[in-house]
Amino acid sequence: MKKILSILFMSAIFVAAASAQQIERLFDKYQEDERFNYIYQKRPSVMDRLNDANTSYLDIMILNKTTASLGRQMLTLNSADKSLEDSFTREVENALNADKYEQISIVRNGKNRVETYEKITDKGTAKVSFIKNPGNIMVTLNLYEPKK
Amino acid sequence: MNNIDNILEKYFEGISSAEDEKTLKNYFRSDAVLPRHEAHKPLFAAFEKERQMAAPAFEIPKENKNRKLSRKLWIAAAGAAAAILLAAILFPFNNKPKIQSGNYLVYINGKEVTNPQKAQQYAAKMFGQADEIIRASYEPFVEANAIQKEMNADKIFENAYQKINYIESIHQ
Repeated sequence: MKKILSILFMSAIFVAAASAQQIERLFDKYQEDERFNYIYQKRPSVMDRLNDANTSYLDIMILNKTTASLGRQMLTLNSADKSLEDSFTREVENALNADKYEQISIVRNGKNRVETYEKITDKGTAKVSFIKNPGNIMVTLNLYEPKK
Repeated sequence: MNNIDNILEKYFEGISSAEDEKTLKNYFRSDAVLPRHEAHKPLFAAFEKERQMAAPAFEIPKENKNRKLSRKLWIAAAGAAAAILLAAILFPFNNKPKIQSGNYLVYINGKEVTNPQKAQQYAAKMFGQADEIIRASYEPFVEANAIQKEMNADKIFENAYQKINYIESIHQ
């Protein structure tokens, strides 16, 4: 019985560890892929953050709730391959679900689609913007320290 | 039934044959036991029970060596699982983008941009582009909000009321 409980406990931790931070793993997975462009900025400046904040009230709220940026990343897929676009979109959506991101907004403007997601934990706030245009997909991830 | 009485008598005197005892056992096992024989029934029932009792199976005690081995295996498996778990937990942190120097890490079509200035320019351009797309997508909502504020009924009535008051004050 003890063994079974131990196995179950360890499996639960393993599954939890494996499923955590799926979205960051996605960036790691494709950063050196030749079909993608990848950017990582370690410490965005205050101006960069203000530029981000201009986008919506949500960002201003994030700016208020946080003290400092923990970096931002962007992954861009420029592809004429529809199946690649679809599979990458599915991967992003699955990762967001696995990481339990909350969907904040969806804006559809013609064929352009912008989705924003947010996740607030004790460790900080993570914001994901998922931009889908025909032939172009952009995913940005902004991490912020929690306000002390 | 007299026969049973005779056999019982012989049984208690210790001179009954094996055949007699078999007859008695069958009789007391049956439902046809006479009331006068009921007193003997538990005795024969006890004998029957004793006969049915199986000797406990002899078990060869398991060697401790096997048990120790499985325990060792268990500890090894737990250790391996813990190591894998630790690696799984640490892996994402160790796999963070490695920035040797500067603030940016840029890959274009799988190739790293090693020039820090170019990396910065490209990053600024791309993040700016993304911000612009998001800003443009939110623009209709911002405009709609502005229109909603402008179309505030209270505000319209307030303005109209002020204008009427002003006109009336001129006429007076």
